[in-house]
Amino acid sequence: MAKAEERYLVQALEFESVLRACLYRYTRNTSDVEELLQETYARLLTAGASGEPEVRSVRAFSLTVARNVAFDWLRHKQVVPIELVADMEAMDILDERDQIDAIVNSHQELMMLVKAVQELPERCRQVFTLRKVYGYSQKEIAARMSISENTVEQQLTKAARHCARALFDQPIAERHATLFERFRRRGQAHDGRE
Amino acid sequence: MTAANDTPADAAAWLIRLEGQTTPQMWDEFQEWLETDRRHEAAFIRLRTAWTHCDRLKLLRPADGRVDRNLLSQLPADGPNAGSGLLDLMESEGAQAQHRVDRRRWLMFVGATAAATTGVGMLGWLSAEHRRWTYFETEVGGNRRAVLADRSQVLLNTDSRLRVRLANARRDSELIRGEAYFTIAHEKLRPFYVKAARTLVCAMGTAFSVRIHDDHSVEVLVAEGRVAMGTTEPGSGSGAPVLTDSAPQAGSDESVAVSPSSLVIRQHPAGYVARKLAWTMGNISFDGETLTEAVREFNRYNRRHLAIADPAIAQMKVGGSFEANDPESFAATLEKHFGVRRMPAVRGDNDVIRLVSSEPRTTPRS
Repeated sequence: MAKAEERYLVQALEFESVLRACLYRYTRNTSDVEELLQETYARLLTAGASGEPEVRSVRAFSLTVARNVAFDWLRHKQVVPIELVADMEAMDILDERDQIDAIVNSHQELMMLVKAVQELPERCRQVFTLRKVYGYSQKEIAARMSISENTVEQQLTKAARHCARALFDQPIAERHATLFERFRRRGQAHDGRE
Repeated sequence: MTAANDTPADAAAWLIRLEGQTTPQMWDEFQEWLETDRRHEAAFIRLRTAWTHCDRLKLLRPADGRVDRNLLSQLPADGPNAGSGLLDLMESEGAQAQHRVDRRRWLMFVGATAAATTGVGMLGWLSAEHRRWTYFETEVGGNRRAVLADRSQVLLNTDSRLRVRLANARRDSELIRGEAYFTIAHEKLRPFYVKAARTLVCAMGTAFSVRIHDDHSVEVLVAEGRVAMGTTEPGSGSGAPVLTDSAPQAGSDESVAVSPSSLVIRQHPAGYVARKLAWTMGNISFDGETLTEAVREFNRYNRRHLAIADPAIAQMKVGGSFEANDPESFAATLEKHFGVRRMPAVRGDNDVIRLVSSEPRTTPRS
């Protein structure tokens, strides 16, 4: 089981793509999103350790944290895009209405993982397969493939990053495709009323 | 939010490094990295969670024991029937018994949510005590003795704050303010560091005190054994500071005074260090200090301050041993033997004992 203080963070990983989308509304570029996402996770970790009363919806809470991170960032940059107000309200509607998609289909997830591994370069994929499917140690893999342990380490590091990205970001982003469409339209509708 | 962009890469590298051959030093470095920034810890948990998810791929291992490093590239993972394809593969291979086990595990995984299956693992070994700093603090006039997990002892003097963390490869402490006396348990392979402002003291098994003065200079007194000394660079906060083999050393009856610009080691006559450490017994001991210095020393321990209200007595030399928490007795002794008297207390100003010369006219003293 995850340690208690990690609970918000670990649950938030399930909708990393939603958090990325939320942050992207403010930053408009992916490298800043990456940075703000790290800060968001750090704050969720701190919140999990704080002993404050339990939040009711981790999803809504995470989005609030992400938004606060984005606001701090914008304040720091001293830029506030006009369309922010509309974005925020659209986000709040999203929080309440779309809870279903947090349900993760384990089986589907395994498929996504296999697919992610298939995208890796050959050697990286082989090292990963020996480690995660067959459970060999790094030393054993090095001996078996006649490569250095250092190379094994590098390849596994690469694979780990790729899998994290595949599990927490892209697949769910696919699942949410229609959701984002709706969400975008709401934002536009709101703009229209202004 | 600076230089956060490499954090996911670092987190992944640590995750994999710690799966391989590790040393205590490596764990300590990892700990250090983890604590430098909350974002590091968060990124690590994210990577570890993903990595633990990947363990499910063991379900796809053929039951006949055949090892195929290209196994995953042969599986159909795309298309609408991808899932059933995988299941077929699992069912077609191996003995029935193995199949039943796999099947049961499979159902178990399907039944669990992503959140519930994550986080088994790697960080569990690090206990909170091991990873976190423990703080010790005293108020004005207080003192506190602590016995650490390695059996080292620390005595905190008045108005002091110290933090300690005992890791696998090194023992760290930091004096944040005030003064502390350390009696370090000897451990050849695990040096004990004391950081005070920018000064770093390293000891194996010794007894010494460290004090931060009001001007941020640091004074070290060695009662037993030897310590190595150095300074840390400002802004090099991330890694654990270390001392090189060529760092200056001080032995018993020596003191080290460190200011931003200098590090001075002095040899003292026998008894000097013991006298300076009289506070560990609740006393203050003087031997030729000026009254100004003596008053300043007393005021560290008491809310009721002494003040010199007459320049004529400021440079007077004093001697003797006094209870640190009893400025009244000190003032009484001054009256009796040193030609000093207390000014009558002013109403509403009871917190200060003002000292003046008891002689009617100020005369120069040696």
